[in-house]
Amino acid sequence: LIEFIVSYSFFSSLQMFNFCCLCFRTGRLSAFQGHDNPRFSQRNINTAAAGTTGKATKAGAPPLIVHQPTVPDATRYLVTYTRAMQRNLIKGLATYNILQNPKYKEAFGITWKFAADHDKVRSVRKLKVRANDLVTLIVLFYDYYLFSLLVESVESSGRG
Amino acid sequence: MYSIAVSHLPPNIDEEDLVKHFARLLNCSPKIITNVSLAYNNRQEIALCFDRGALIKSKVILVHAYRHEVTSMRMSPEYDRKMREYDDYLEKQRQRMLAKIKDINVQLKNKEKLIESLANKDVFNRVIVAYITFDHAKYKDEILSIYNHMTIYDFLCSSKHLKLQDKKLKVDEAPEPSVIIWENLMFTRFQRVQRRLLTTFLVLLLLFVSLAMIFASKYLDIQNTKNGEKNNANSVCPADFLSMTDEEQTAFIEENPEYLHCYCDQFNPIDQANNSLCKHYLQRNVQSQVLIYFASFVILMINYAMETLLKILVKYEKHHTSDGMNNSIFYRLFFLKYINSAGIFLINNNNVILRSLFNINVSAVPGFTADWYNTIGVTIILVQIGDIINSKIDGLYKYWVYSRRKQQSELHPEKFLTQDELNASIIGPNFNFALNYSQLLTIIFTALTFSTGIPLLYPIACVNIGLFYLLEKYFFVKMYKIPPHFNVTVGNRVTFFIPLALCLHICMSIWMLSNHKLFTWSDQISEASKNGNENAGDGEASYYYYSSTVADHQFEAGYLKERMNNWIIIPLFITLGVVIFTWMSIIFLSYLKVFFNRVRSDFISFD
Repeated sequence: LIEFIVSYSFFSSLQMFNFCCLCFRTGRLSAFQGHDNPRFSQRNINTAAAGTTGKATKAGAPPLIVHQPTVPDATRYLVTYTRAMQRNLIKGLATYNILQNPKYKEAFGITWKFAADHDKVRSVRKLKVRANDLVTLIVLFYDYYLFSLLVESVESSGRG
Repeated sequence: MYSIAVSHLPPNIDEEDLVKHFARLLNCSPKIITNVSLAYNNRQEIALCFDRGALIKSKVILVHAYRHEVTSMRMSPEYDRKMREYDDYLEKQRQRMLAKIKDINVQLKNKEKLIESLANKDVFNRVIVAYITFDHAKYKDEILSIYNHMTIYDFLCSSKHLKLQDKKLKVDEAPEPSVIIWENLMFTRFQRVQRRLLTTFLVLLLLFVSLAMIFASKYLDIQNTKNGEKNNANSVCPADFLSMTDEEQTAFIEENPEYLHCYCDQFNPIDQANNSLCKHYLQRNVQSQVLIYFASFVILMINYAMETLLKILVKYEKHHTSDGMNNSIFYRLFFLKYINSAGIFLINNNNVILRSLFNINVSAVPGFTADWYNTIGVTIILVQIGDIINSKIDGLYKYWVYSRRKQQSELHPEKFLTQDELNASIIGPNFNFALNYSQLLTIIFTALTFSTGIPLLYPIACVNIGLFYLLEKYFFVKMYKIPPHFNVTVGNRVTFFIPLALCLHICMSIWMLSNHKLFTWSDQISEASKNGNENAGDGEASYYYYSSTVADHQFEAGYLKERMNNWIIIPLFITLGVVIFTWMSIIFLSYLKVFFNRVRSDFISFD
């Protein structure tokens, strides 16, 4: 009996851990608020509390480890991809364009606009860096000029 | 969700060909395909783009550094006094910055030329994978069903229409876009398996180090005992030893040094140190204890080293997705950690290996003896207690670094040149759920393997998992980045492994409890002593009797049969049968459900 109680308690700990994983996989608050599915939060709290195991079913039997799909099962056959995009139902990245992947966008040093307009890695070379340089330098010297003016005006007002 | 991944593509394929092919297969308008993304054989191209991005970033940082310097110098109170001096310095800095920018521009030009030259080569224009997104999920399911649920007739006769430019395509469900590692897509399965084998071999070397250390410590322990005054801790003390006077006991020990432990165990360590007879006995005991602690420490360190090494080596394996990477980490880390934490003790349990390796004369027994509980059992408990700290130390260190960086960004934001740098300072590390799962499973498996013999492992595992949960929950909220959308494979595997842990637990229980000397009665002892054991005394000495007789037990014919003929383990056999039957039934029913669903969907599509 003691063995059962103790093993049950650490399986429950595992359940709680899984529940926690789930919450953070599906977005911190949406899991608790039932953002996508009203039954979602209650179902998972039940899972954690009951400490049961089993596969996820459409009937809502609580699974041990729940992985919420990017679009809920019930809606993915009703909603088209275009509509899901418009309604922001797809969580995470919704496109297979490498340039729109935040990890690669950051590493390639490209803008969102550029990523949206192109879809091939080799397009990156088309990004006009020299124009960027020019802008940077213009901004730099403009700043420098403005600052000089500011200092001069302060100095002159001081003198005055 | 709406996409498929198509591989084994013909060399000169474009988006239009793919759209036409799949629209024709589904007998629908091409409009049902909303997007086609092609992955090329462009690892070098991606690497060059990474370099190019790094150069652009360094250029931006140069400009910001200069701006920061100009602002800070001009705002300084001494600027009015040393204006000319400062301006000259800033002019020099500006010239230096411009020279550096010029240099970076040259490097950028070279990178762009290289990217252009790669783009013109046919090898780098070969399409490896195409990700096709349908407007409706049913089209995706239909295509997957057409390609992956072929009958033999389909396969032999009517698969021509499935080919594209006479090439048979491989169609699978596409992974989530955020988990794809694009630069690794050019590596074939064979290449990845080769790399995985190599990395596994390297990690296994660590396991061998662990094994060697454990054996070495045990060898030293045995040698130490042998080099002593022929002391054998297993010798049974004479029944009347405690009733002897001190002088009689001393005289008896001088005559029979193998009974030294009977004499010395009466005293506490301080008294033993002051006693000339027990001084060496105490020294040997302390050395043995140190070796046990050392073995536990080595196991913990090897566990940590394996985790760290695998995290580094997994990048070399060139997985196509982060999911694959996590799966690979989870499986190997769990098995290796389990072998290191529990399996090694099972190997070590059998002194046959030790005897053949070091050629030393020690008894070999496949059972769990009192000796085993005294030495290896203690090591297991120490390893599990040490694991409570060891498993959390990495997370705690990460949290310390993260909070320190965050504090710096709040107190001294001026130290960060760009907004990107400031943003990066408050972004936490990645959440490695594969590592966490492997850690939890190792705790559960190790605890359940030995818990029948060492019930203390239950509360230790409970505390370990509970603390792990609390800390990871805190880190989730306060530190980790929100992970990308991984698939369910690792989670499903963990669910699958838990009944396996229960089966293992019952099997180990059967082996431990079937030791017929464990549940013994005085009449059995006296009977056994009559059958040849001279050292067996009365009921009080049952512990010694147990350890010595079992320790001397060799691999005799019928030993296994003798152990299994024990009424105590019958309920355990029944429980094992029930657990296996239930487990198999659940698996069978789930497959049956999938089968019926497929038959049903086939009939619906046939209609």
